[in-house]
Amino acid sequence: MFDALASLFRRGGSSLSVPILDGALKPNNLLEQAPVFAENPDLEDIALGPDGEIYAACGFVVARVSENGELVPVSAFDGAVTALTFLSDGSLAVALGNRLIIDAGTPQSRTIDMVDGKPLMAVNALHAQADGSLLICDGSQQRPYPDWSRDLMEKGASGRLLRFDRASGTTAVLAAGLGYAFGALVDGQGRTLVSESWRHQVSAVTDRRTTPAIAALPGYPARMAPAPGGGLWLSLFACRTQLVEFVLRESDYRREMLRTIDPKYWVAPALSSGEDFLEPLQGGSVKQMGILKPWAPPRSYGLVVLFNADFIPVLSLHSRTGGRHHGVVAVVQRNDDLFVLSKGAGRILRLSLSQVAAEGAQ
Amino acid sequence: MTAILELNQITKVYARAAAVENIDFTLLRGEVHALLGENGAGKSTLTKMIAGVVAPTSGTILLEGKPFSPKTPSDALKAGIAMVFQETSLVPSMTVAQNLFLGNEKVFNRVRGINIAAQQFMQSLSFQVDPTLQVTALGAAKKQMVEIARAMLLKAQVIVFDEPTATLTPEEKRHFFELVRTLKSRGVSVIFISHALEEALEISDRITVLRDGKHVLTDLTANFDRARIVRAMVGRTLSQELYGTRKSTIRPPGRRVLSVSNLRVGNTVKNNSLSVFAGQVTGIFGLVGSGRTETFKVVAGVIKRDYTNGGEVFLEGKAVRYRVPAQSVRDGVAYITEDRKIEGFFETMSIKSNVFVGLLAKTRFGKFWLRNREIDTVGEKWVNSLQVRAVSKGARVIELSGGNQQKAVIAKSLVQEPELIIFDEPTRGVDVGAIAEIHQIINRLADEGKAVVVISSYLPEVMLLSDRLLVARQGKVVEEFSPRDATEETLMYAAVH
Repeated sequence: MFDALASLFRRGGSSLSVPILDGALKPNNLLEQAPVFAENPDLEDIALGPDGEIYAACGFVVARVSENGELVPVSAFDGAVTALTFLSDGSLAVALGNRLIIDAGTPQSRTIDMVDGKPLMAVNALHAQADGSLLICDGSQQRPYPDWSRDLMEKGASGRLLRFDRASGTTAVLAAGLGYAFGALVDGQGRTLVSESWRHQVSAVTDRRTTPAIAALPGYPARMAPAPGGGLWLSLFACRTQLVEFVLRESDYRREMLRTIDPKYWVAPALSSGEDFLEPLQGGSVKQMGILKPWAPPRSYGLVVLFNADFIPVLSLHSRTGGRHHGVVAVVQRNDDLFVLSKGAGRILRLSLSQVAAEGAQ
Repeated sequence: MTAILELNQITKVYARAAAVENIDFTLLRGEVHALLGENGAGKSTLTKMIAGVVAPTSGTILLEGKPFSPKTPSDALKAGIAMVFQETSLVPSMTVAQNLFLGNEKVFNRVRGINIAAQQFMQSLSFQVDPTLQVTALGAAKKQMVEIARAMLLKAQVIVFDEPTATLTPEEKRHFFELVRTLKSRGVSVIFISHALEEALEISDRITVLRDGKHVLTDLTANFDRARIVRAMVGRTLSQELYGTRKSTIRPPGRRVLSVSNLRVGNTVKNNSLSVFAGQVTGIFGLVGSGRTETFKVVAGVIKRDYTNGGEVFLEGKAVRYRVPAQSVRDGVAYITEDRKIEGFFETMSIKSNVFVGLLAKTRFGKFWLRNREIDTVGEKWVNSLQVRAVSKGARVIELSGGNQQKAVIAKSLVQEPELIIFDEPTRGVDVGAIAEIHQIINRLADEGKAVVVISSYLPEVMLLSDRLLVARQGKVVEEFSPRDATEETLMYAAVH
């Protein structure tokens, strides 16, 4: 009752709106039709190695992805790897959810599990800087990484962006109180950026303060990767829908849902969908003649966006409603090749950017 | 065919400037005669002399071989000449039926009686208009229908249509053309003024082209093609460059200036979402009733969206809900209306005063003390910049031709230095020469990095101007095209299916 009354006095009245996919974000099928490079249901993150190879976090191992798509394990750990990167000296850094291992797989390896007096909880993205330091995203202080959906439904805002300094061996907090930190990058102009998934924005971090750099995204941003020309690639693991936005406003309903419903049937974004008839749908998801229409409100979606140095979107790759390559959480560019990790499908996709450009994608 | 109307060496002089000069014109019985020319060419003045609205300065008019000099429009009506004006001449506060019989009332009138008569007459024309409705409640197309019906009711032998199709949908246009053919078969002569050259080529038997108040040529329609008409109208070779050429370069999008999310306005706009980017022309195509104008009127604060579930409007990333247009003007939004005579300018004020009013709208509290020198300076700057052509510097806007009026309206908005400029049907009722100039203005604004929206029902125009093409249907944007991929067929298909 209170929610209903309060909604009338909010900005925009009781309106529930989500940003539209248009302009450079106009939907296409480039991601859906992209060739599959490698496949494994446990794929979690990808990174470009010092040898120019693609490495993937896959379950409890870090594997090199050979040119024929085979996953060749190079290091094994005692927990699921939630993020990986290579430092400027070529050493491997991995996150195991609530731990971070620097120089992983070597005798000098060191583990960090506490920063600024608080334990790490959901380390989900790492970004190595040229000066040897490392940006660390601790998504939430409340919920572990696999429980990200609950953090969203609880409107979590406890994410942190941390910086490990190789020279001093110390780790400092760059920003706290983030609406789920899920990707960090220092861009071509030296700006420190962090994805805030629940706030649908990429924020610039200066002196422990964040300001929106890319605001009002149509989805939930995840990991980023540098792009030539000072721009950046941004992966978005799901699109926003009016139904989820509505549920996020309805506190009583949400609490009841969290308490009584199996998490896989929550009205919440998902990394993949269409596998179970009990999944919630918005507007019946516009299914006609047995085919889910691509413009139906998406429970899961695949989206990668290229932003230029002015943070203006210039290109987007989509796997639309009813598609397979959803839940994109990581992207890496190597020369003309773009590697995209679809966690929802458990696949690494490989696209030729010159081919994409030739196809005239907006 | 014999001549029903002959004009010999007709001249009309306003304030020592000749609007029409030594024109010879012949209208044959039962013919459809298209009168073409740029705005300011003298078409309206010529027809107004025929219809008794103004008297010629010199020259003679012969109706069925006899001298004819109507002093008033009712003289002309009695003689069988009716004129359907470019802008509606209906009385807005009266009903359709009352308007139909206005001036021809009996001593005793029964409301029910004239309603029934009007109903029967409208049905005989296949016009679906409720005769009991007030004219103010009608859309532009329906008003036009009433205008046409009124001329038909008067059993005129000569009917002058001044831009009759400007506000009609394609379907209504077809219907109108059928009506003209019926008139022709009954021996009625029709003078047809239009800026849509295809219409003139389709419907007329002969074409007369005027330029700068002078007769240029008259010939059978079969001897014309589009290029010849345009050449005769503008006195220079525009050939097909004005329209029909595919856009070769597309401006890349800049920052997102406007974002409309899930907008709702009654039954006209339904869950509409779209974005507009800086440095681009975003073209919006759609048929009448597609909610294009209403969407952007909400953006400009002219009308309000639904309060509950009305969606959101973001300008430069900031959520806005304007109560009055002045707020949007201050935020850098300029909406250039499709109905310039009603909403675009103060017709009795001079051009420079109108331009200065635009500037005043930008300030929160107006100005306590107005200096004439400032009004002159600002006005002249924009008159020169947009090449507004007037008989004199102090000319009132109402005295300008349609194209120059439109430029004055544009100047009135641009003086506010907006970041988002919305052109609603920017070249409706504007001559070919002014169309090119208005297109240049639109392109210049986009090149300067402004976010420009062009709402147009004319496909060649929207295709030529736009860097992005959005198609609206039944209250929402349904498809986005790149001008590289779009064809008239694909756009129209998206607009109707």
